[in-house]
Amino acid sequence: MKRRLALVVLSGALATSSARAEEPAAQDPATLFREATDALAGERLVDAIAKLEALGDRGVVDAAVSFDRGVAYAMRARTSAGQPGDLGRAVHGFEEARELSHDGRTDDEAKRALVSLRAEVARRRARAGESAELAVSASLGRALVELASENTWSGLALAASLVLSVAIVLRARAQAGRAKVAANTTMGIAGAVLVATALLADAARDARLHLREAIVVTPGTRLLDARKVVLPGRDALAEGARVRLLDEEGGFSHIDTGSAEGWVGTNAVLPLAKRR
Amino acid sequence: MSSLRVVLVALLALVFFPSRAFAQDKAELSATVEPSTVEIGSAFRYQLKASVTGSGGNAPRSPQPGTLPEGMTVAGTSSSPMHMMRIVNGVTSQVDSLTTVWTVRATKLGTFTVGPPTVEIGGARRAAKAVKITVVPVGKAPKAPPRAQDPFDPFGGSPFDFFGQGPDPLGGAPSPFDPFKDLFGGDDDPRMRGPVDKRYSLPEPRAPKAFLHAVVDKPRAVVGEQITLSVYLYSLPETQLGSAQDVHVPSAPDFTRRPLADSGPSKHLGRAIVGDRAWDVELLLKDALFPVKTGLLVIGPMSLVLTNGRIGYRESESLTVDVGEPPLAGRPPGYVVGDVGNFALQATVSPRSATRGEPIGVTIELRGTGNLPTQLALPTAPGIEWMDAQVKESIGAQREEKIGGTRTFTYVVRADKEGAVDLGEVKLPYFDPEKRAYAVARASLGIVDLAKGTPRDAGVTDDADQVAIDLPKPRMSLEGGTERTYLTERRFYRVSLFGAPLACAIAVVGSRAFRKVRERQKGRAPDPARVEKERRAEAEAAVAADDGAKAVSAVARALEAAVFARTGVNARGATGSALVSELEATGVTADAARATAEALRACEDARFSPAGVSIDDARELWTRAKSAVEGLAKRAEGA
Repeated sequence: MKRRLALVVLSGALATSSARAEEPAAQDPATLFREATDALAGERLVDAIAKLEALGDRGVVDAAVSFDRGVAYAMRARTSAGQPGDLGRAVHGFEEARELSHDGRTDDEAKRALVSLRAEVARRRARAGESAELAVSASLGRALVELASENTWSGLALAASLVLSVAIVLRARAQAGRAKVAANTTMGIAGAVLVATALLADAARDARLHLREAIVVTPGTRLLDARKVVLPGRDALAEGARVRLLDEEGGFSHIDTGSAEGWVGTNAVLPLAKRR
Repeated sequence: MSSLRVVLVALLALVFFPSRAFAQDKAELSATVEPSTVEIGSAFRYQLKASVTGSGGNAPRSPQPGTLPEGMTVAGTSSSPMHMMRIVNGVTSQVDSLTTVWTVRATKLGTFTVGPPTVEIGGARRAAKAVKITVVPVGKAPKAPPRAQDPFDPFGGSPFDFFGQGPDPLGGAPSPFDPFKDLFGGDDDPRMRGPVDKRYSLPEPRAPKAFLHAVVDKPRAVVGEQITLSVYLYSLPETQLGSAQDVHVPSAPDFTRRPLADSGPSKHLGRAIVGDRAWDVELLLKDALFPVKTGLLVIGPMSLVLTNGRIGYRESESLTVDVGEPPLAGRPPGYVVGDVGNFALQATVSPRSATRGEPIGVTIELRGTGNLPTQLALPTAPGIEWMDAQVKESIGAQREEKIGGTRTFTYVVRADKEGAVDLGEVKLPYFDPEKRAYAVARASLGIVDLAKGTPRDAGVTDDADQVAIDLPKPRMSLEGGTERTYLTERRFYRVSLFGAPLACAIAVVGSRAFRKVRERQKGRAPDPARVEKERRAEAEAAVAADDGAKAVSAVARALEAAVFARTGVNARGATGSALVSELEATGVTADAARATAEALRACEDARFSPAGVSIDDARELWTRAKSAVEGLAKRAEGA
């Protein structure tokens, strides 16, 4: 009897102990996401972030997850519990949401949030005596490619191909001089459009398949040279800056910021997920 | 006289050469080994007993072990002389004995002959019989029965050995109270003690005399999991190592390192079989390494220089550890890669009652083994502000196996709230490497009662730290993974993109080319041989019919075609003499040229005869024409 009582007391003590370890329950992504949004609504930001990051760890790639992760980090950055890097991770969430989303509203709202976040980063950099200039203009080629989606470029190329084909046939069959001129002109324009749009579609495809981009998530990240020594005369990279990942080697990532190339610690940048 | 001389000589001999007479004393020598079969690396007793019974004064001395085979070394020697006097029935006799025990270590397999041992008796060196010893691999030797305690055996036990352990030169621990323990060198040499430990055995030595050997306890690990790196120094028992200089510890840039063993002198671990010999093993370094990233991480070699015995530079192996991440399956939310071990959290909050905005102390103790995290994820709630933590730690090696201890985080919390405020719960998800599973350590902070007070930001207008971020509302449902399709990935895209215009262009150009070819084929002169053949066939058909006029015309055309085909002369419209001349100019004989011209003229005459022409005439003409053509053929053959 005494032994049973002792067991009961012991199990009760164990159950109420403040220090305990337990196995996590297996959760499906939908449940985990619902719990994350509940935590976000209740401003339990650490819980929300942990759950949203766990979704990412489990390979869930969804615009809503990225969007809410951006919201959670940005909310934490506004509180006193904000951690260094929260702004960068918030930027990462919204940028990724824009990459992944096929919803125009999500894209617009993420874009507005990004403007707000980058303004905050600029304000902090200005207060720290660093350059507040954040935007690094992309190359002309990249800018042209990003004017339209890959499918738009490829659709235009197909249309130009069709027009060129018809023009070739008409040119062959035309007897009248004016018809021949019209066919020649159409052939020239359609050919040029075909080449240009096909190249742009190919560049967009290449970017989709091979271009790896990342967001700088650590404040005060400085570019290093090939020997991993800080490059002199340069400001620290802006938190939330979008960079191109060129290579990874021994805990360092080779990046292209648009204005310079260099190395940073792998933990300083967070790669963006892309639609496949 | 002669007999007197003999007696005198005998007396002198007895007086002046007593030793010669003693040389006749009885001497007994015996040599033994115990045990007769030993494991490699173990020691055995090699004993020589010499006793001389006689009048005394010729005690055995200067014992020598004799020849020891290769692979056997003397680890220690002890000798015990004894003198006894006996008086039996008034007759006095003396016994001088010497017992010498050599402790010999066998480091080579096989059966060997040891000795013979020798001893000096009365100025002469006497030898006992050689003995055999068999050295077998570890674990193959028969178990020796416990030796009976011989009260007269000077090595059988010490009168000071209260615990009965005895100064066993074969490896038993000597009594701490034994005053003789320092008498004989070798028994106290720690390198000569301890059994062979199979854990340290190696197939081959890495270098002669002494070498370094580095090992890790696991070849694969996850980020943050403890890997134990040990570096051993192996040396042959007879090698004097001296001091180590220019010592470089292994480099491990991709790991955080904590020592598991004291950084004092090396620790002798025992002996190990390397190749076919026993080596002494010392532990030089034992560190806990925690990988900080994934990949094939390299641990550099340890190196040192041993100054004695010209051993010189020695270097251990470079090691590689395959480091990955803990599994994704079952990974709890908030898990930080690198938090690996077995942890527990305990929290204390003081005071539990305060006024709004007053500081509250929160102490969270993290305890366990493994890679204890340096920071904790704190619960956040509106109005609750956590100050930076003060961290104290007591972390070190536990039983030289694991790194562990406690890390205490002390926070100051300000709650800009009133009433019962739940501070939340601190959670630490971690990966337990022994169970290969995740777990979460938790500590509930509980509720604090906050009395009314002044709000923190009442009347404060400073917005220097205010973060102004315009945030959208979070998404409440997953957008869903609609697979996007791309035109560029469709097979028809590449084909139709340039294929369609190209196909059209090829079709246009092809049709034009085809048309031109046909037109060119139409304008080209027919082959004379083919024409001749066709005309000949027409003529044959015409003469087979019954229309004489048509037959003559056909014959004329066949003849003209034959002339053209064979000579290149166009006979149409040519007059008789002119045709003959032209044909002759091409090498046709005059007869054949005339025959041809006449046949043609006959055909012309018949065609334009007002009376017409019969079919029989036409057939005759055809016969003449064929004959003329044959004449042309002869010319052709002759040409």
